[in-house]
Amino acid sequence: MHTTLKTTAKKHKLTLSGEIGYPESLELWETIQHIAQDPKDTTVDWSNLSRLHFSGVQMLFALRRSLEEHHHRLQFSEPNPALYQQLHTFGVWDALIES
Amino acid sequence: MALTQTTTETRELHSETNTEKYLVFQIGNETYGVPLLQVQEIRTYTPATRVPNAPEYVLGVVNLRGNIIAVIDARARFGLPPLPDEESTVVVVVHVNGKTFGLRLDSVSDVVDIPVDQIQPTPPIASEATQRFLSGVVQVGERVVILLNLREIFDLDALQQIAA
Amino acid sequence: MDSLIQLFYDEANEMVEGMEQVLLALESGEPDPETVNALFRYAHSFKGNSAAMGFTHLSRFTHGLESAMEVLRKEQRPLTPELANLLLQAVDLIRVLLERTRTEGDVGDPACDTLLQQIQAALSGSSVSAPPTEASEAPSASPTPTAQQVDACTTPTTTADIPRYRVLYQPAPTLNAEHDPLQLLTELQEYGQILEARFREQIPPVAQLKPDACYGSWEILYETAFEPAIVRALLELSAEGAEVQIEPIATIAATVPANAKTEPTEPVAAAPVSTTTTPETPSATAVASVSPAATVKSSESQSIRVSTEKIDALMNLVSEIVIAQSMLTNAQSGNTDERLRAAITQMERHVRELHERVMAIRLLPVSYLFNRFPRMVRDTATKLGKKVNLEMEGEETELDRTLLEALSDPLTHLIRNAIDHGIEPPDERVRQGKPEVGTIKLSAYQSEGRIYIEISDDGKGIDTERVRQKAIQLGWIGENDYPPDETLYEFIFQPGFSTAQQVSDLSGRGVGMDVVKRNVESLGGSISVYSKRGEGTRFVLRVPLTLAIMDGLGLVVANEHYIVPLTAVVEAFQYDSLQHTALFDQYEMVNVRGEFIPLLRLRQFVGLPDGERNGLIVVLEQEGQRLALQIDSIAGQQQVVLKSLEENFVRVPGFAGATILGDGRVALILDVSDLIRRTYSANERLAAVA
Repeated sequence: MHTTLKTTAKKHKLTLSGEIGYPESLELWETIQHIAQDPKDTTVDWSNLSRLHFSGVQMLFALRRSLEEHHHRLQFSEPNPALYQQLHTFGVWDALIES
Repeated sequence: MALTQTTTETRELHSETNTEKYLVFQIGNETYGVPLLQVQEIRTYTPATRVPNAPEYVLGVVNLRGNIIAVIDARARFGLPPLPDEESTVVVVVHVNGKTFGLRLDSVSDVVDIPVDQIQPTPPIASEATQRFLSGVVQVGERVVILLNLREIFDLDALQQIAA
Repeated sequence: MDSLIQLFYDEANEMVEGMEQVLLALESGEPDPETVNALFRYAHSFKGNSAAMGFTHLSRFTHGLESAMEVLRKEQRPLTPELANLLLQAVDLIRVLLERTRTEGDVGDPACDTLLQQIQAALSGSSVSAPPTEASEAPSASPTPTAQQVDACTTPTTTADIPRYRVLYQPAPTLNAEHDPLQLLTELQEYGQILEARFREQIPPVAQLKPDACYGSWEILYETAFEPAIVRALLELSAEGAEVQIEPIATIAATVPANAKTEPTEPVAAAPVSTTTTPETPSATAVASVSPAATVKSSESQSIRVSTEKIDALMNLVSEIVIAQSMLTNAQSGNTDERLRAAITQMERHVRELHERVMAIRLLPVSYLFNRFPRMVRDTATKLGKKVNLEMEGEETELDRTLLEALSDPLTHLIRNAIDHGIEPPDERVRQGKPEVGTIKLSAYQSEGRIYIEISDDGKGIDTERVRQKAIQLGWIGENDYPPDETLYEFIFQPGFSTAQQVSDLSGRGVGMDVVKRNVESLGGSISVYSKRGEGTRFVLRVPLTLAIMDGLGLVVANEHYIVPLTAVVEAFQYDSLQHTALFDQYEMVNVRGEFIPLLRLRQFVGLPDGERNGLIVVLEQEGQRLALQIDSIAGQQQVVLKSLEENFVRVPGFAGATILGDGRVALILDVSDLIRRTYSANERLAAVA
């Protein structure tokens, strides 16, 4: 599975792994929407994610915004170097991480 | 005719033999069949426009949804005297050799499943000319069905010899 | 799924053709930068597409070629014949592999590596200034090249004279599997270096987000040795609606960071992504001192791909509408309702225009057909030890696509023939005072509603004496007959004339001149030949502009209805025995105002029993020759759509095709040229016997 979600009383943990292309991002979308409807502090563990379609990147941005509206945080684990390289080079990393 | 008699019914019950569907029809007193895969559709017969200097068995050409196709008279192709058009007269439109043709028949019967391994080679019953039109025989229930080789029937090379 | 695969192969074929043409153009010594860039675009697209389809071997091979060609490009080296041959061989190999992928999937071939090594060997001896590095391996569709020796790098070096650009990139508004802006930006890294990137976004919260919409854009400081057009092409790849602005930066911009977090560092050659060190390139920094970007607009015309089935269906529909329109016009002819007449007239106009426009869709420039010939000529000439230059003219002349396809074989045969039998070996040409390199000229033009295609060569011309001898051999003429040259030339087109002797292994496959003639005639065209001993030969093919809708006149004999094109009808009148004569009681003629015109009885021609011998005379004319056709009566005029008889039946002599009348019946359309030819040659035979 590319996307798994573990939810406790206070937190969500969203684990993304493998490669998320466009079709997989649509699956991710369901989970994102689910989290947004149940806002809690959320951690994204993407240490094993080597590719994320831009659609998925946008979803993470959107999720961050939605959580912020409810004064919750979106945090990210250490990324996979390949993914980091890409996001960083294209200026997306900082925009996503900065709060 | 020396045909090996096989009981197809029992065979079918016991084994999952490879079967193919055939469209079966009468010409004269005999029953013939063509592979259903080659049959595009069946239409009522409408008079064809004569093609000058064409062989006798070519009735002419007709309009099939905007395409011009030739219609061949099955009886004439087999050297049988022609019959007048009846209500049951049909044209079976087939797709063969990359072209679409019509075959005018007295009537069609039905579609049957024929086990491929039951098909016997054609015994030398027909004249040399018509032998090549046949691709095998098979017993279906009580009937003997003679399978037609459409490629030979619609042999275009022969048709090209239309007198100038 | 099937259509996707078909699309891949369609595009792949186009790309491969494109690559070949560019290589041929380069070989003739014109290293025009646009052309070279075009080569890269083709190779790059093809590489990406094949990888996307899972054909990794093909993709890798293409990548290897790309790298090799990059060396040529950077060092502005001309394409030596040796290299040209190797690269063209590579294109052939790609073609072969492409075909094999249809049945074998991701298929490779040791020949790929061998060829790449040979290419590399041919290239070596040059100094590649850039330190060899592998192109950056982002998780995308571009794998590493197979051959280890292909070390031409695709990332520029750190020399200061590499141009920089400010690129504003607004991706196409829709995201999908083929469109991932991150992917496109990654590809950009292969052709240059993103020094700085600023990402702008307006991504809404989850409730308002649409997953397939793109809410981001980029402003990038980009350094590349490639042409901006390539950058544009990359970013617009597979995504219509992207907005790209590329502006060269005159000096290396002093970066004035708005809210810089780190210090700007020296740009480094892109390291392979597998390292864990994080490069210190700054991410979001504004590039200072830029004037408003000059938009580099793409001048490529918009076009879309449409399957031929759809076009054919549309064509048929329009044809039917024309017929229905015609029926409507006829049906209301007795009507006096003004509004009805006006409405119908207007509809007639619109239908006519619709017809013309739809017909125009099917028109393609002849270049589609001609483009395969430079390569063919080159290869054939080399094989036969001849030196031939191919000139082409009028490639923009447009022709119906089915005609184009049908002309391919005849033209190929004629050209091969010209090289084989027309153009002399180089030393012989020199001996005759001719230039060593022979010329074959292929030209196309339009005249009087017809398309003309000429193939001429400056070779040795047709040896009329040999033709005469051959005709004697075949029993067509007697030993002491010396027919005029025109007649001798026509012999070439008769079946049986092209014997095994003349059919070399190139012109083989049973394709003779008679087949060429038959092919052209089955399209409603004709072929003629002109030649002069020692100077050359010229073939002229004439084909109708379109397989069109035309105005037809209905002719009736007995109860059969035939159509003749109205354009071929000169006049019609009642039979009058005073005008009718019969030479030797066989050779019927009609005297029309002093001109004696051969008579053909349509009844007889179509094999009906004798009947009305008076009736009407219709005078037909085609290409300056006239024929009087005797019929029972005329059935009126109507627009008819010419439909092929050969498509599902055979060619019927004397008939150009068939049409469907208003009542659904089929009517055959007479081929006036054919009728005239038959009547005249029959008469000639009669005259000869007499």
